[in-house]
Amino acid sequence: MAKTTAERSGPVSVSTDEDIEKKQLISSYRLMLLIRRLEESVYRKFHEAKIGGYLHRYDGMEALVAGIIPFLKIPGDYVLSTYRDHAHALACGTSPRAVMAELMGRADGCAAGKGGSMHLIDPDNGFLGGDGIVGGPVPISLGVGYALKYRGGGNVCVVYFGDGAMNQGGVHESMNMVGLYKLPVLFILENNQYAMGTSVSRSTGQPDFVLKAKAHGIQGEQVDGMDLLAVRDVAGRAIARMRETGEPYFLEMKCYRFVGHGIGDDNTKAWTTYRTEDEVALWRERDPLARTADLLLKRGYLSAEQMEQFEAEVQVVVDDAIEFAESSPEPPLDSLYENVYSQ
Amino acid sequence: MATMRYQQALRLAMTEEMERDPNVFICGEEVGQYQGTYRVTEGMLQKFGPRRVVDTPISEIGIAGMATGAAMVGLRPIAEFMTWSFALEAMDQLVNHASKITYMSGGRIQCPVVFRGPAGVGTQLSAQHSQSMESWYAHTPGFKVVMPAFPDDAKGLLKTAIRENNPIIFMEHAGLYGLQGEVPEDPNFTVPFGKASVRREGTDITLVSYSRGVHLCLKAADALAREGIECEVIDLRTLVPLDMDTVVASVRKTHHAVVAQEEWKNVSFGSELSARIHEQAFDELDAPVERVAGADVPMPYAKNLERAAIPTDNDVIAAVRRALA
Amino acid sequence: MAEVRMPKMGDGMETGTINRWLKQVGDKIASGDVIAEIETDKASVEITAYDTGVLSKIVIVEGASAPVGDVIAIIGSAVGAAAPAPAATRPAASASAAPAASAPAAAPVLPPVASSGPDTERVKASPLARRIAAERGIDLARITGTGPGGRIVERDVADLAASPAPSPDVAIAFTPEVSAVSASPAPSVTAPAPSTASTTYSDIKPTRMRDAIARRVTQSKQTVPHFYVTMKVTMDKAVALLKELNADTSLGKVTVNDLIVKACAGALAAVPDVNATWTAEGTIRRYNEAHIGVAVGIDDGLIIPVVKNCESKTLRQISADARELIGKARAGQLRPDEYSGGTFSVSNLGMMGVDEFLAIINPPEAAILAIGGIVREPVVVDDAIEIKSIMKITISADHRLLDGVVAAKFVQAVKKALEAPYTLLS
Repeated sequence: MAKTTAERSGPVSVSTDEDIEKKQLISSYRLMLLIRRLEESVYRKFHEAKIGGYLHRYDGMEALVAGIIPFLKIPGDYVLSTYRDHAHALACGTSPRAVMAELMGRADGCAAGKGGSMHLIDPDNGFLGGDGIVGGPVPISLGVGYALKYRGGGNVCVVYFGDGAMNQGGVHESMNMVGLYKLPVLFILENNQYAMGTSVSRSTGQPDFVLKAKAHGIQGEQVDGMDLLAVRDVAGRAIARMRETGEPYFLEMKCYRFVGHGIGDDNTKAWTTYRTEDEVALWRERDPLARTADLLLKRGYLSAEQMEQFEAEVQVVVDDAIEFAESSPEPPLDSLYENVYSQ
Repeated sequence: MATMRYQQALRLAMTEEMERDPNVFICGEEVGQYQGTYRVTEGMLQKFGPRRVVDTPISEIGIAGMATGAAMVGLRPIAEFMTWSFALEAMDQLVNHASKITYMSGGRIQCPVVFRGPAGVGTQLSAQHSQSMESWYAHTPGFKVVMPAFPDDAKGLLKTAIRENNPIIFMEHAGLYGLQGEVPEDPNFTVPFGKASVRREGTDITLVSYSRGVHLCLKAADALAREGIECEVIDLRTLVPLDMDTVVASVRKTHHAVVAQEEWKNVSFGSELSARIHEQAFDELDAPVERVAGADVPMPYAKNLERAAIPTDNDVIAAVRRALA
Repeated sequence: MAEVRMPKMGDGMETGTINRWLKQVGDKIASGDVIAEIETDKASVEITAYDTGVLSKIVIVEGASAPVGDVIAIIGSAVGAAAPAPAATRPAASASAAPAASAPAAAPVLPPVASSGPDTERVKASPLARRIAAERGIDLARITGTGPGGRIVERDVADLAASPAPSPDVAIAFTPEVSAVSASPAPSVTAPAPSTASTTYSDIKPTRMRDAIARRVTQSKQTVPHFYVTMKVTMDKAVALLKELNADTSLGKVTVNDLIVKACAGALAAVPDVNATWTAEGTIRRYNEAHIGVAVGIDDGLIIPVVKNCESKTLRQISADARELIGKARAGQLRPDEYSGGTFSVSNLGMMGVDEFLAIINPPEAAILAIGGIVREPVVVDDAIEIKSIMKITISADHRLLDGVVAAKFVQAVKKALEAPYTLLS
């Protein structure tokens, strides 16, 4: 995949200097590790009844945020995502404490306990929120993109959405308008191949998503979303170009989620109704976290001891987040009617 | 003061606010080159250019998203729906996004956007273009809902709406666009939200309405005055926030009330008004609150059927008689 | 602070359901007050308070149940802030999700026992009319509504209290100094505690009727300039006549009062100035009919049923009417039209051993005649002393339209008739 991408896009690179690349890859790896470990902790907290509602994990898709968000200019650039949004918040720089506290509906959560898992948000870090509606963030990205163009300054808006959203009317209305007005919106299609339980082949007449973007006047390409290097490489070049031209771009990230659609899916193993355990196992062999670890070891950027140390450090961060969240108070009842309106 | 039409007053409000605040822009269908379907934005493209007066495709979801997203990052968009009937296309962006983002973010995001356009019934436009659905929005926490009945309020309320840090549902009435009235030209003139206007004082019964309904009530009040029934007519101006203080004070005086609206009766804003009057002024009432509303049918095309479906001043008079029986 | 607990109201009662709270949070509670109706599996019963204070919290809401012994309400001290709820309180015990009181399925459902009086049809009245009636002590059950479906609306009650026209709200006492007539509960005034100089007391909320009486007599005494004329009537012939008439009781017993009413009817015809009203417009309205009110002391105050058209009724008819009205008054069954529309009134305290008294005019009437007891006393007749049956009558008259001479003429006419009582048989 990465090879295909390179052929299409030409040899533009974000970091020619190896030291920069090394630093960035290590940083992205640490982010992916944090995301994975935090996600792995949340089901337990759900079963302990400390987290409620829906709970959608990002396991297997970490490269999509780790290869893009760390290279944004925040403040200035903006990120929008779906309800599978824990990773996006962490990538934007929202503290794990604020994320975990929000998952537990506590006062110290990033949305003061009013959003929950699907509505993590952190505007100070450029994250305009997870969105509980399939396709919902795309029209919003049109507005954010318009504001960025209105103001000038070369900033971009990155909007994440899934393959299911590609069948939503509002997504196409918005893509058309972004293409029409030439707004600096980077569309990241998280094509994990299943819209909840419905595979692309069962939902989509024309599965060439890049073609659909082009139909709206937006250039784009397909990327191997399981490959951090490919994601980072293509997105980096796309963003750099967007900052100059102000025009939109579309990236179809072919990827896979290792867990069910949400915790319900995993509690009941309902995911076996639409995919086999063999298929999941096959994709797990391409785990972007493991592949990145291998790459870093192979290149000698990290030693096995450093890896273990990272693991330990991340575990401390996750444990701390949980401890913090569990000791954070529930939102005051007085806050029930607060924030319905701004002053 | 200058005499101008309701629609000109709206334009003046937007023009003044765009001159005052560079973050204000307009987007919508036919707002620019076409000069506005109802000429509300006439001349504004020429004055402010295509960056601030944005013609959009016929894409209500896109329009609503564009305005909401831009508002979330600090602009102050005015999104025009060609009619509120078409805004139904955009319900998800309006209800699931614009109205909720401030709350969902624990107050960390403001959404200063105005959604405006004509609501209300027309003339032989039939079911899909002749309806009023303010209660849908008033029902939704997070929106403020504004429905001016006169040119001066149209201007003053729209200016307040544009300056508000919340999503505003600003429903004009196509049937009032041509209404003339005295309008202050002072660019500092605004009309506050949540303050009803007593358009006529009376002692026998309180008529509560908004938008074109106010005119029905005033006409009915004139007719009833000739038989010695003095109606107090309250123009709510904003449905959310709702000025119940003025309504209750009036009911305390008159002990009778009629609420009038164009929209369907079932589960409507009038239902809410009636319920609140009963809740807040039960012991003041000498009769149940009467409601005047549109017939609970999709608007028919045929003239005679349409006449039967749209409330008139005679319906208000009949309601007054029931209340005072 | 005191806790009110779900009482055990019968053998086998384990839980009770609150049908209705008769007191609301903030209401003053005296020990013995009925504060709630509860429903057990057998019947609905009233709960009385054992403590005095202010109802500070309702723990078990209407429709909810609680086991015997559980706290259902808190009575706080009258002056203190609302007491905090005890830890044991719960919002509602809950087997029954339905708000309505639900008896256990197996038990027979008994009709609830009415808290007072016989079952009456629900009175339809507007909220405003109810409020006005409550404020003015008007019994809505006695009013016929003129609103849609017979609803009592503002105009039906507003007229009663505010208009100068004859009105049903005039069920009023004119003799406040003679509180003995009223069998209403005596104000409980505790004696000053010997150890301190301060006076202790308890405040009693007046009944609606008491409240109405208070307002009406105040209004009358403050706005109507009263003057009084007293005269002695020799009643020997009248007493003899009554004895004769009542020898046969098959026609009903004729009372002294009946005779007096009949005499007044004649006097009103003879001195029509008295049968009149000073209207709000400042005119004098003279009535053609003599509708004579007869003050009746009842349990919770006074009421004045009106014997209509006395000018055209015989003594027997007046007697029969008065008997029926007084009976109804004591049973609380008077219809509004039976205690409204009077043009003159009579108040008789003779049977209480009263010699004479001054009554307060019942507006909008112009006069009232106060009757004392018949006393055997020595009188000078032709320079000789004789023992006669003497009765003192005193007219209270509205000086705006009546002067002393007119009042005297009227009293004289009554006296003359009673002293030649056979004229009253015509």
